[in-house]
Amino acid sequence: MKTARSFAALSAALTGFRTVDLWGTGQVDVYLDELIATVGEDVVARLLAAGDEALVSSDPKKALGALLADDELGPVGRNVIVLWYSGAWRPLPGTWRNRYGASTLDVARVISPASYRSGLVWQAIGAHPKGANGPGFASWANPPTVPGAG
Amino acid sequence: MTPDELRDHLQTAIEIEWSTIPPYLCALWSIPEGRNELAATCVRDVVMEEMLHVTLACNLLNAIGGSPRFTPRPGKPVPAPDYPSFLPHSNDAFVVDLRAFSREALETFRKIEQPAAIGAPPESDDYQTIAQFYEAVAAALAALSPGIFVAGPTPQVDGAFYYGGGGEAFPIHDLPTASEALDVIIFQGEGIDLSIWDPDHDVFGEQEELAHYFRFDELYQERRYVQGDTPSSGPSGDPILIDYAAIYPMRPNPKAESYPPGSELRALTEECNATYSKLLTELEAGFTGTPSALVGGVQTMIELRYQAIALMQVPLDDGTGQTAGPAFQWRARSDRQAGVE
Amino acid sequence: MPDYDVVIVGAGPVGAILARVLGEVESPRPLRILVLESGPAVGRTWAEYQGNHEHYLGAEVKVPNTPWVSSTYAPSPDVLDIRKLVPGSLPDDNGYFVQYGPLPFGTDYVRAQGGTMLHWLGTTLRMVPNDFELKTRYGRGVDWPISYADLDRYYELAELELGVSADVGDQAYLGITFAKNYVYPMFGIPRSYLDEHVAKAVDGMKVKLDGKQYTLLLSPTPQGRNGMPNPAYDNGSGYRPRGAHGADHVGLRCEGNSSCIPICPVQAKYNPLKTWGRVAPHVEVRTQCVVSRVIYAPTGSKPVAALEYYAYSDGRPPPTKPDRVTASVYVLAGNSIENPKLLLASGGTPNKHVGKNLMDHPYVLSWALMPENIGAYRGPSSTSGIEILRDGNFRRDRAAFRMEVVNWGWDFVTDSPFSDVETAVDRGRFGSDLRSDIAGTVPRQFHLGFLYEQLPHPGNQVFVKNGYVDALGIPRPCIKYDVDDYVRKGMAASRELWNQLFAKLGATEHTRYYESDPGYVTYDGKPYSFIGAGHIVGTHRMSKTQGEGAVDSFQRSWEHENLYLAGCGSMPTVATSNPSLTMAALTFRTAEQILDDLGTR
Repeated sequence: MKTARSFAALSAALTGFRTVDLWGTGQVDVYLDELIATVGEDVVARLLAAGDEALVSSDPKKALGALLADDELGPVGRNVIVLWYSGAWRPLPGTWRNRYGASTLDVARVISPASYRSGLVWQAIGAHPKGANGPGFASWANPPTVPGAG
Repeated sequence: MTPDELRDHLQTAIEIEWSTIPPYLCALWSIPEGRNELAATCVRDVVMEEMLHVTLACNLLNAIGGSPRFTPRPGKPVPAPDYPSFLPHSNDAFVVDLRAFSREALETFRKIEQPAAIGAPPESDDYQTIAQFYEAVAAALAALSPGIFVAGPTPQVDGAFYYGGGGEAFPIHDLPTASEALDVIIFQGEGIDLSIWDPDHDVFGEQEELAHYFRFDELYQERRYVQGDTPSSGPSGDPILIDYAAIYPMRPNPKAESYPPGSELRALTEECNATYSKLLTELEAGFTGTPSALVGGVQTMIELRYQAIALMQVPLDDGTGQTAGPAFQWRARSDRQAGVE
Repeated sequence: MPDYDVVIVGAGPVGAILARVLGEVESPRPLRILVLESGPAVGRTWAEYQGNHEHYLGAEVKVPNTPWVSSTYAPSPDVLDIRKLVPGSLPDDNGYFVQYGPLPFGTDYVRAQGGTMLHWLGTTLRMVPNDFELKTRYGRGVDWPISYADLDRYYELAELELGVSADVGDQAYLGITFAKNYVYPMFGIPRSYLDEHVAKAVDGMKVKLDGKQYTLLLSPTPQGRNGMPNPAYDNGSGYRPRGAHGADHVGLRCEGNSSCIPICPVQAKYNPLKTWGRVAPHVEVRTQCVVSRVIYAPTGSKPVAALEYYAYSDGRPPPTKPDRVTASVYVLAGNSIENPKLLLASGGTPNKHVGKNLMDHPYVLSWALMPENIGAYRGPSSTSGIEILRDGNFRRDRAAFRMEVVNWGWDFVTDSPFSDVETAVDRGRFGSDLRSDIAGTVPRQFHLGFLYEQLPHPGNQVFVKNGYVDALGIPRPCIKYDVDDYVRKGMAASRELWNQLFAKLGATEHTRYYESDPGYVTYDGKPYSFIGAGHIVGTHRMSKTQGEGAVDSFQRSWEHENLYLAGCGSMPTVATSNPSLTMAALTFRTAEQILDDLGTR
């Protein structure tokens, strides 16, 4: 649970969403499991430790920027963002795989139908996942709103 | 009963019907999609029928010159209950909670849908069962007809704006249409003519669909009713497998105030409350002359569902393993938080 | 006595409507009807249909055929198979089609019960009267053997069957007329916020196209999806929207799931499963039965003697021997590629028009960013279009086109919105910066889609060739396809239109075509990339007299009077309307003729 909370907190900071929004998708544990299965426990432990540290630092934004610029953790962190926004894993860069190892799970894949529905990009643009969670008859005629933006 | 009293009673009818909806929705939404489908279908069907009952009760109230109310007025509190709550105007025999789908919830649902015992007198207040209440309304309506029905067009909601299950909504303008509406409400709730409420009578081969009470009883007993079963025999059909472990473990009767001010969970709960309150406003507009407001109402109901399901997946901090949930608290427009961080 | 009164090949929309209408006959006796479908059943129950939806949601690549299971023994062409062709090389047989080029035929279809209308968009435009007289009016293509007036009544039947939402007042343009007091079953689907925004700028706007001035109007699109029922329908009887097949309380209104293609999750959009749900139970439907040969009688008044078909099971070895079935009337209702393929593979002397004049709507997109949030990615794909450029004297010189305003941002063109996220993240964006980046751009995306009228050319054709067979040994469709200057000139005119529109809207154009695009063409030095629209038409066209076409106006084979070739293949020209509604209307007309043939009308 503590690991999951670290993962949720780091994910929130990286995605710009609240931790409750992430928990509300039901995907926190799912994505953490997928991440561990794909890049291994050690990398995830280092990522979360770096995240914990960044979040309590005096300038979390700067610290997170540094984390994302890290050779090893940066590409993983960026993939976590993409995972949350799309519900899909995208393969790590070839350079990362060459240096840190290639997992058979490191392929382009939607984690599950539920994860696709939970993609944050749809919330970010004030829409709904294409093909799911239809907002109701005539909703498309309403003026657009972008919750939580600006 | 005077016409004013009858109108008051129909407003009460709306409140009774409405008061069952948040508890049913909590149970329904706590069942993750694709799991426990039989249970989800059962609760969804009942909710849709309750929505139809609300619609018909509103049409009826409009037909006799009343004006359905879903939001508070000066001196009149919000018609929707603050849970946990007794059913409005009931004899306070049992409390209704907001709960995840569970045996406790089913026990309450069975009480809500309890058929009237044979010979029970119509009761318009302190009723024991909802059927008793409607019997009283029906009697008053018959006594005051036809004078009670308003001439000319009254706001009515029909199949154009009410759809999606539960049956057909239809306009009400006279005693026959009013009686038809009451029959639908009573029949769907109890399923059987009161005169044959005999605990040993086989009532399960005669209907296409079980009455609400028995549908919940099936789930409670985890066994289907089949032809030949009687209310006293209980269900003797195939077992129903219910995986209670798959249900979102929502802590009963969530409230925004349970979370610290400024916390994310409080904000999320208030967002959900705001959506619920918007729904009540739209329902009131829809049932008082602007049926097209129900187009927005359907959108709001969908939004409410996703917000509620999100809440039900947020674990509480206290180590109980329970999650937050929708509070269904009324918030005046000025108190509603915009959906921003 | 034949095995059946009628055998229908293909359980798509045409097969479904025929089966429903013919299945309703009760006297003097119910007709014995068999439907043979090459593909699997994909939506017999609501649960089965939902399975298709879940499969789609979980798929990494989401294309129109994604939700629909394909059988090994009845493969479907897929847009993922379409590649740029190499001139002078061997034909590209990478997918189910064998593409001879010079351009790839970029359209897919679904071989399954329900057919390709499982993933149609839902646009139900009527053809304009002049579309039926292209040759007479403009000296191009051919005329139809029937007129708009002949079809009006059948359009009404089709609009009922497909459950069309539209308002007559919006649809009466370019000579389209409606019967007195006619209203559509449901009121028009509300237009998107984007539509209203565009309409404000476009309505009454004057544009110049190939030197001539036109006044624009953005028209609401008639759609085969559930909206608000019109109480005035059918002289005041009203209309009850039809819900999902197997779950009739679901999908009673469009819910805005924004995935009409590839799958409407709630079946608020019509699909042929809804018609199949109303087909009389005595109609036999056999899926996974591929008809391999039409067997002709050497002599006699019944020129078609039997059909041969292979009944297979997926996951099992292929059947070794075909079965045979006989009927009084045979209807080939595959589609405009499967119908001619079957006839050409059956030997004999096929009508010379069979397989020829293959047409589609080459579909070009142009995309841009609005200066403000217009609520992209909401609603049905398209809820309005410019229809008034579908006819005019310019058709002597260039293709007419219609333009749809598309509500789904840039999803077709750039894999947005996911690509936007990846780009921003790879630029180092994260947290609230990332979120506001995305929120500030993606909801401003929109694109326009242009459908051009392609003329019939015998050289654009479907044929069969030794050596190219499927897993059952049945010939695969070989295709030659090109897009002529008439169409390309239409593309140039559309570019003039979108340039002026984007300027008026203050939108920043982002359109880019790449030489590597499979449908890359140029005209007048400017590039265009087209994709297929899925509107396959023309390969067994109807004609007034024998010799000019393959079928008469009832879609009956000129040479074989107990054989019908039904579907879009019978359309002599493609015009500019999405063909499903007209196809359905023609089917109702054919059903009446078949009843006449059988003496049961």
